[in-house]
Amino acid sequence: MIEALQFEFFRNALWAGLLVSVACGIVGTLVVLRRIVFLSGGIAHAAYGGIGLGFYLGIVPLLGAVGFSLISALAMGLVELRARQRADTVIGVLWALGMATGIVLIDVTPGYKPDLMSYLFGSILAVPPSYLWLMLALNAVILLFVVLFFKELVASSFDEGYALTRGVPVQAMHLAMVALIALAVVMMMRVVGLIMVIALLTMPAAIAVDWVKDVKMAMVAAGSLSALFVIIGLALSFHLNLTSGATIILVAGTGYLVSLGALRLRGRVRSAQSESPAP
Amino acid sequence: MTTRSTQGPPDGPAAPRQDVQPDIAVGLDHVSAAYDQTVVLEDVSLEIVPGEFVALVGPNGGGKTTLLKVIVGLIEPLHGSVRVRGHAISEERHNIAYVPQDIRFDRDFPVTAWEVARMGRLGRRGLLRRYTAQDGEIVDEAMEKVNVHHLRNRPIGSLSGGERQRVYIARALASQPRVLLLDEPLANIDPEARELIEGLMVSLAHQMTIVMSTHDIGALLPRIDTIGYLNRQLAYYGEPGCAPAAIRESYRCPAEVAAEGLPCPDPRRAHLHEVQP
Repeated sequence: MIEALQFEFFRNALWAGLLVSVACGIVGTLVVLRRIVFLSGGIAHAAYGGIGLGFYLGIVPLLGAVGFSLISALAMGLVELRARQRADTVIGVLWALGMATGIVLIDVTPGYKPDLMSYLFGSILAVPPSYLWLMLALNAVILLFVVLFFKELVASSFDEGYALTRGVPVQAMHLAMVALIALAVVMMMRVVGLIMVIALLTMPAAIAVDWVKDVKMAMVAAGSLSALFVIIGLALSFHLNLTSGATIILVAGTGYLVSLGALRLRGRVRSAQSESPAP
Repeated sequence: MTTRSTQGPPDGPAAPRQDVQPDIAVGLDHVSAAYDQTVVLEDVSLEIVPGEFVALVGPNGGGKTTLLKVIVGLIEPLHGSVRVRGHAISEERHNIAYVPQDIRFDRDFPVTAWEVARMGRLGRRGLLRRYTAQDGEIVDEAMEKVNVHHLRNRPIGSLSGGERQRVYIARALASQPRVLLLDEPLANIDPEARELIEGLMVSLAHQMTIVMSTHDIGALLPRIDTIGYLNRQLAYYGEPGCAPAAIRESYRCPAEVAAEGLPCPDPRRAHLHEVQP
């Protein structure tokens, strides 16, 4: 992998992986704690509508994705707030509608659409430097929001009803949270692709929350794990000539399964210790 | 009950702030509440004076939890108005604390008991302000009062039901409330925890206004000023000593008896409505 670093595209890919890990750590942890993984999946897939819109209007597809993702995320967030019982159905519908809109818009756009697949399956090795600046800016927005409203985010994730009695604007927090997910999704799109965004968003965070008993530290751990998975995945894909996004996800998935196994093992050891008679 | 109370809407213009102790800590005026289409609370009016200790009793589904949620502002009443210390709830949030019956929560949620108790300071601190060292001291004090300070660094998910209940009470006390609402604080806990919470309630009684829903008043009876029997309507509201024998007997009984409602036939139940204070 060291020899690969001489290529600018590979260095950019590494930077992209590290930058996306910041968003993964912060937003992913909140997604896991708030149990809105399904909602995040919906936002990620609906973002494809934004790509289609970008191609159709002839603007930078990514700008279309940012706008479309934010709007569809807020729509799904509102649905969750207003129709809790039916929320999963409606999110499922918006999930598919977003993707379908993207596909149809691309169909009706004249001309060749060269890097379409890169949004679906990721193309971390083709990340341009301008994209890195965009990622940096989105990370700054995410970080700023979470630093400013950390105590409200944690309190409303833990016990929404109680947070409401303390005057925490719980609904606004929820909508801000889905907006953050939309931003994170756009960042991750080029790294692992829309289809696998949800995996990279949740797996490092799920491992972190299982092992680390502090929200801030869990965010740091999730970000570090994400960076680790991306680096290992990149190196493997480079040496074995595999699709980078999918390799990263397989590495993360392996990490998650290893963590689950280790948790089980720890549980068994602990129960064996508590069952064994005191000396 | 289709009209709104004439005493002023709960979200009306803010009355001038009173620094003096208000005459009424909690006032409900012809309040009705519903979940979806089902009315669970019908035409409830009551006034609680500062420092009063009120126990709400009644069968499951009788509206006790709903009434507490209406007072704390988690449920908007269908009709009628709620005033806390003479103001709309939105203006008095910082003065009112609510201890829910064991909440549904993620046992793996990475917060400690102390961090949960510190959430009581949210309303006092406000948006964009960090918790301060003073908040920490107040939280420590609240945890000591409820005898959970030794659990401060334990993850909340690792605590027993009784321990968690006390942490929630510490969280409520940390907000330094003038009105404390507790939903079944004595339910689903072991006898030792029960004794601790009862002792705490005794020590808090008359230091602040307390409204507690319960199935079993038990040892707290001598401390209770007012008992309210709620079965959708407020069938009785007054001194425990004047409560119909059926209520008094019921709520010194184990919870199972109380859960079924008053163990008396309808003719006797009818006179409950006549005992309105």
